[in-house]
Amino acid sequence: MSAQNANNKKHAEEQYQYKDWMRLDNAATIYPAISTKRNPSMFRLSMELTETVDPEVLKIALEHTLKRLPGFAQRLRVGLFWHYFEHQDNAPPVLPEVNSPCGYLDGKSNNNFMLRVRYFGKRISTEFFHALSDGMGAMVFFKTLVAEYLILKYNAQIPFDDGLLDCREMPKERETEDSFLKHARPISIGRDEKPAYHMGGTREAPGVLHIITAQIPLNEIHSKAKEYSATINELLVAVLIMSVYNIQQREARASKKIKPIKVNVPINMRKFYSSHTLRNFTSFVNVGIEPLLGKYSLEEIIAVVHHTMALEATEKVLNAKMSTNVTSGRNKAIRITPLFIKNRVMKLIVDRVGSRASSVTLTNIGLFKLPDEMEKYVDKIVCHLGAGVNPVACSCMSYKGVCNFTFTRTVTEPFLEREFIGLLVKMGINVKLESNLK
Amino acid sequence: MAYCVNCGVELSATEKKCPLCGRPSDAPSEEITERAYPAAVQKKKISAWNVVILGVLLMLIPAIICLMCDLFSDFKISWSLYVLGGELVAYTFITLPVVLKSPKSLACISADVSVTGLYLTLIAYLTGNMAWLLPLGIPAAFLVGAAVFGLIKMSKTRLAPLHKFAIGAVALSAVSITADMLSRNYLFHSFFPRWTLCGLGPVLIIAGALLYIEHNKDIKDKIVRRTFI
Repeated sequence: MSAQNANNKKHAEEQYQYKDWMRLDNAATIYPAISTKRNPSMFRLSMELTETVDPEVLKIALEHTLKRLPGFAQRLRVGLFWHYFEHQDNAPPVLPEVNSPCGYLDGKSNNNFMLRVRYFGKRISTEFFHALSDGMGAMVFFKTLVAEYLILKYNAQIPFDDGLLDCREMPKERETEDSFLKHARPISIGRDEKPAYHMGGTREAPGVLHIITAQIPLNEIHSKAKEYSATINELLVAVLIMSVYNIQQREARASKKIKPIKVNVPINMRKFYSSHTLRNFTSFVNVGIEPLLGKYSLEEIIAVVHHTMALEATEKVLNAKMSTNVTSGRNKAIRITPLFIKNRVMKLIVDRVGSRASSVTLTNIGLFKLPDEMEKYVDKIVCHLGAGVNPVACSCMSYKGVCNFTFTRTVTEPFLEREFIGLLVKMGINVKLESNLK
Repeated sequence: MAYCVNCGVELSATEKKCPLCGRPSDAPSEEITERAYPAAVQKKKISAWNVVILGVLLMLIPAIICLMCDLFSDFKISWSLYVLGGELVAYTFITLPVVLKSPKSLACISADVSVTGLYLTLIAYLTGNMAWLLPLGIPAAFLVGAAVFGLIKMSKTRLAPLHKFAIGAVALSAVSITADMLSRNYLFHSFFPRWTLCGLGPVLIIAGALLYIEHNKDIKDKIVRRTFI
């Protein structure tokens, strides 16, 4: 009986209290300060269904999903000292697809929402402003949206779990908690990292984003990774480093231009803590090589990636990184500084420390599983990162035996894609390409 | 199924050409299905002439207001001509590089010097004192134009940085001596420069030292070794 009472109490505690406004989480505070038309801080998730998308049904599904996940029904407001989110009761419009996604969020055309839902043929896509959520949180929203669409459209019987929510349930408090604050410790470590090599290229106009998706058979990349005694993630990161390394060897001959090559690998912090938040809760590891030390082979790079990840992708190191940011955010002098000054300082810090420390970002969401009842309606899943300061960003997601490795680029020349895909082809891996080029 | 033989990759049925190298797809046209993404919306570029016209319209606003105020205060056009002349000078300085498809520094600077000369003539005419115009005003405008042109040309030459510094220092010294000569001619009717000659000696010594260092590798290396940051 007491156990049942405790359960009821726990359930009551978990009931979501609708908030008119909420503070941005610790990682999110940076994004409004740094986002511009050239660097919109957007990312996107897409699912390709088996049939053409019905925008009217999608609109209703979106309304239901936003009611279930009010943490995503937010508008960004400017306060005197901090930005904050304000809850909105309506929904953003469902928009047709564009050639260059992940563009700068124009408030008015989107009912001031921080996310954009698009459709094109059989594809549903959602673009998120990074202040709202990270890839894993956004994935829960997106899966819930598509599941709701399938329920409304086909009356699909989809089982729900932690990663796929039932829109008929009430929102939960834990889904909007700031897990950074909850799990940070009173420690801080230095942020300084040596500036990494940055690839050049002819900058496109703001808003233009070139996309190339390499569809790689999962079994082929898996057996290749096994050959090198590495995981798929380690192999992909190593090949990416090798590609940038080859470009640097060609482009930057002067020793002053030879800089470390580092790949920024975001790490999901939820796997270390019992967090159910759908807001930002990721940290990162910059893994790479120092070309000034000598020539590297792929095997050596794989070893560097393996050992760096083993040393740095640990709860202790990642917690120290996030705690440093939380400590800065708690500093009284910083808190009472007016927002317009804070914005400039944050931009300076990101330019000085954040963006310069890596040559390219690679988000690997890994193997993606859907319930069988949903899987039969979904053919393909792709993730796009909006490129910004670094001209190329990469994301990777495996589904139904295919690893979809997507390059998004804001420069004209496909240097990195050519190099990376060339290396995979030389390894004997079959690659199929899809793009948004004319 | 289409392949790119250059890159060794398979192309999706939506690709008309290889996104890596641009080679057209081998697939028959009927096999190419609808695009993976909609076509990009081509944004129209604003032509340079539209900028010029917009600039004229914007400049007309203060010009008309000044003219009206001037005219209604004493029913004569007097001080507003300074504003109009100033606007014309600013307009030439800004719009000429925008309108010219490949702006040539000589053409732009010549036009800038000409309108500045005209504006100085207007000021001299309105103030009723033409005495300073020919001996000082017009030559000074030409001198500044020549200095800017020289600076632009210098920045584009592929000389060693120390050579550039040496030549730049001597050129700057020559410009200041000429300015000194012009002002002394206007004030004291004598072309002989005074104060700028004091600076000429050190400048020539520094320029000579820079040229020597550039040619002497050992000294250059020693300096670099002791002063690197």
